Amino acid sequence: MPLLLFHSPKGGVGSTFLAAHCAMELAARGHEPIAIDFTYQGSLKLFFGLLPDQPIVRAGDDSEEELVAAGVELLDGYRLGRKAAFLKMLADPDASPFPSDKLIIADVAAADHALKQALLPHAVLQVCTITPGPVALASLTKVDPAQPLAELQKTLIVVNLLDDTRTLARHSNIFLHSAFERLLAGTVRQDEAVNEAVAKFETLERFRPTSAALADVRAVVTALEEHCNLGPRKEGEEG
Amino acid sequence: MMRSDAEALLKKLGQKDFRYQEFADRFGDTELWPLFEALLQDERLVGRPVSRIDAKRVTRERAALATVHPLPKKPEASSEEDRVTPALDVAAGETHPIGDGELDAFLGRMTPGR
Ligand SMILES: Nc1ncnc2c1ncn2[C@@H]1O[C@H](COP(=O)(O)OP(=O)(O)OP(=O)(O)O)[C@@H](O)[C@H]1O
Ligand SMILES: [Mg+2]
Repeated sequence: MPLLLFHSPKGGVGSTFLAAHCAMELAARGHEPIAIDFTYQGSLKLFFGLLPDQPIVRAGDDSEEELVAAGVELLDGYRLGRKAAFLKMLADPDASPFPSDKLIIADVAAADHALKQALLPHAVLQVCTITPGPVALASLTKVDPAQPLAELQKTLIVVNLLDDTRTLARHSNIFLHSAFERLLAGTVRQDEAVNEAVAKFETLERFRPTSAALADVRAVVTALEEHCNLGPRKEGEEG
Repeated sequence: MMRSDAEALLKKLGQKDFRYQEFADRFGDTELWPLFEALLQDERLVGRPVSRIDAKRVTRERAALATVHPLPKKPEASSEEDRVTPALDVAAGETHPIGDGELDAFLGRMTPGR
């Protein structure tokens, strides 16, 4: 099953938020995803309504019982992402570093460019989150070190944290959708309910089912499904 | 209401269901941010830029633009009005219609690989 790699050259744009919510939405659509948090920060779990001190099962550790939240199995991949043996395996393009029957969502920190590059050959898709502002826009020049953004085949861009009362944000959003239309998977509006849900240890879905950001994430997930040929899967389906 | 030139541009781009159309941003306004243009000329984003002939055409159009819209001469604002007039409103005025040529030039720069 495919690896969906969430990485952006710019930090703080909501890459982890998006990875978490795409995983939850894919679970709701019957995909049984595993979300691996490869970051030192370890904040992916917060978007699942978990507490900061909630221990997460380490990726590669079979002795612990699996932790499933909102239909998503959560794994802490920080150490794994630093293991020489793992990186060596990733260096082999024919290797299968992840279970073949699962959909893997990987959250990789912005600064961890090396790990992103190592995982990319094994991914069907890189989701690059970007905020509609000049610094984030400029960072798009760094999505891939070797290939121009417009030519990337397995990258989708998601604009996040759009505040449409701001002129430059609106213009940036239009600019991105127009100039890189093929790569754009959607725009997610800024919505304080995202943070409120985290502070209440609830999922956004539970805390504010009518959240604008949640509705936008659903549209993004449909675009991801289409791009990766995942196809919506409903309960009871085999395979 | 969306200006017809912006509408035409969006149509050309094949984005009839453009999500943020309702905000009625005139598409030409986005030209006000030099960053956008810089990014559209950045090889790391758009790959190999337009051919040399195209590049020349863009330069000519830019030169024409420059004569039509000279930069403000006095950097220091002499009156209250000068100080508060944002660039957006200046460009939105009747003196800065977005003609087809400009639109095409912008489009040429907008669409990678054209
Ligand atoms: N659509 C949104 N509306 C409101 N707040 C959001 C939205 N998306 C993300 N946030 C908030 O923005 C902050 C940054 O999000 P997140 O941690 O996901 O970013 P990141 O790109 O993963 O950052 P880092 O570089 O630290 O990994 C968080 O507080 C998150 O709750
Ligand atoms: Mg993060």
